[in-house]
Amino acid sequence: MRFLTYLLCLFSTLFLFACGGGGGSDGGTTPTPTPQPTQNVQALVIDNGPAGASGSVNAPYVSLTICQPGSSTQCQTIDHVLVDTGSSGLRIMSSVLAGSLTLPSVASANGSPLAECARFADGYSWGSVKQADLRIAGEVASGISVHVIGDSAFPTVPSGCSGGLVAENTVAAFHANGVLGISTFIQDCGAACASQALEGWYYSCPSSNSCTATTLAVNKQVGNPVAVFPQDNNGTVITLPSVGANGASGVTGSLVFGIGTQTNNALGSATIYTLNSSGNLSALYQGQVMQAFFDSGSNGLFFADSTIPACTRSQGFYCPTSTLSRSVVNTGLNGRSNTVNFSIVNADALFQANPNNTAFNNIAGGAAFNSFFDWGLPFYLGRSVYTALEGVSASGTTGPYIAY
Amino acid sequence: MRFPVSVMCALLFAQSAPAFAALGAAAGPAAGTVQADSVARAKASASARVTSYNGYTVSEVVEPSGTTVREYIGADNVVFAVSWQGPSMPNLQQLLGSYADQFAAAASEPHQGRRAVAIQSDQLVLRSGGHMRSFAGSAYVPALLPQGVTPDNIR
Repeated sequence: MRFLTYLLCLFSTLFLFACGGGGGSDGGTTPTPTPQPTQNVQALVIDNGPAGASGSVNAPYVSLTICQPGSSTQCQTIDHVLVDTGSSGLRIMSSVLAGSLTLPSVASANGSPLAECARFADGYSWGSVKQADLRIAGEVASGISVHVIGDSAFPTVPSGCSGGLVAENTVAAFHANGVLGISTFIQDCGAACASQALEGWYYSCPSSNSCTATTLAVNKQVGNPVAVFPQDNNGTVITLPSVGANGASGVTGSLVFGIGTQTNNALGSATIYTLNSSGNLSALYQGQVMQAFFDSGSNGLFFADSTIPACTRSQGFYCPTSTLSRSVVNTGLNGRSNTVNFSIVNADALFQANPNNTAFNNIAGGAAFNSFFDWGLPFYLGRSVYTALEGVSASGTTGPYIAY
Repeated sequence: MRFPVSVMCALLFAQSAPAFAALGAAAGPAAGTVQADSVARAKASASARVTSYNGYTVSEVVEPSGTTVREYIGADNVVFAVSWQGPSMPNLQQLLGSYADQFAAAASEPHQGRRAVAIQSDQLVLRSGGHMRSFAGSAYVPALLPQGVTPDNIR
């Protein structure tokens, strides 16, 4: 950590010199330079997706830059990386990486290269773990482990990884060139993978066709890069404008790093709802208590309600015959609660009538386990949503928490 | 210290880890071929807690990842439902057995709603959702549901 801080100071100094210092000094006095706050805002865009995989709705994307470790010249900027508060870690599709960018492998404890399996509710992603620096806004996460999905280094996917799930190893399958996972968890797997060689997480690969599950120290795991920033490292704020009932196109917002660390990320009037160790809080919907989570990577509100008909064309979404008004009471572990009202429209009709719009606050779907309420991207529209990392203080309260 | 009744039952009926069976297959030693994976899993995990209900039993195993997997076994010893909850997705190939292909087909269909899968057919009803570190889902075969058992019993 000290080394990183030193490097950052060095970079900052170089940057100041490069900028020429503005007005300079008159009359022989040397003014004390006022340290400039780190630029901590990255633009978000909700458009129809990356080249070759358009057709996205409600997917918030950023551009970011990855560099060879320690280099500020051997870098590549990647657009349409999905901002995902439902996972942790930076994952990039290998097909978008330039051949000139050679990233070193991360080694397992026995010295073999590492591969990772990321398993989601509907699929898995497989590929190498590489080391890189992430640059986004003015922030730098140095020497982090990055999951390079779908590369050819280890073509044989272990059965414990695929395990009946569907491969999601391409830009088309992901509707993104990568995923910036910024959930409340600092690592993707965490302590469980540090103490046990679990199937479906990290693999040691002594040769290209032989990968076996391995333990991996938490500091080598793929994790939320924000936790590695030298500052603004306790969480994030996603701010998006509200949209009308027909949705909107070209919606832009901001991803702000840090909570209460600068003037632009103060909690303000937002209320903190603390989360349990699984990253969930309690939600009451139609008389039923569920576990709710906040996931900018989900493109609708997802919850099971057998009284709402499913769409015939827009697989996964609800298509009620007329617009429904519903509400949920969210209650944090800290006892703070809040009622959220929302509408559910017929997604087939909505998409058909507004084919060019990419952001909608009123689409929901039933592809969810009965006891989960998934506050997807529609929840984030018209709000500033704060996601505070586990175990660290953000504006005086220890995470994990969500605030809005 | 008082235990809920269900825990008491589980303690009373606790058995050594049975061979894990797949949805639609016979549970226990009668399950036939035991896959190497499930043997490893049985060794690595705590013994299954078996709880008896009216007309069926629930065999619950906590996997090494911390995910709880439940098998619902009818009086005919056939697994009519499975469910899971925890930090890692379970191996659905093992859990769903001959129904795994139906899951894969549904999950690979182009679906605009992301991050979750639902199947509602005469052969299989399945829901899978959640986020990294917190997954949950269930699957059952409608034709195999014992009399008096409703989908609400599967948790």
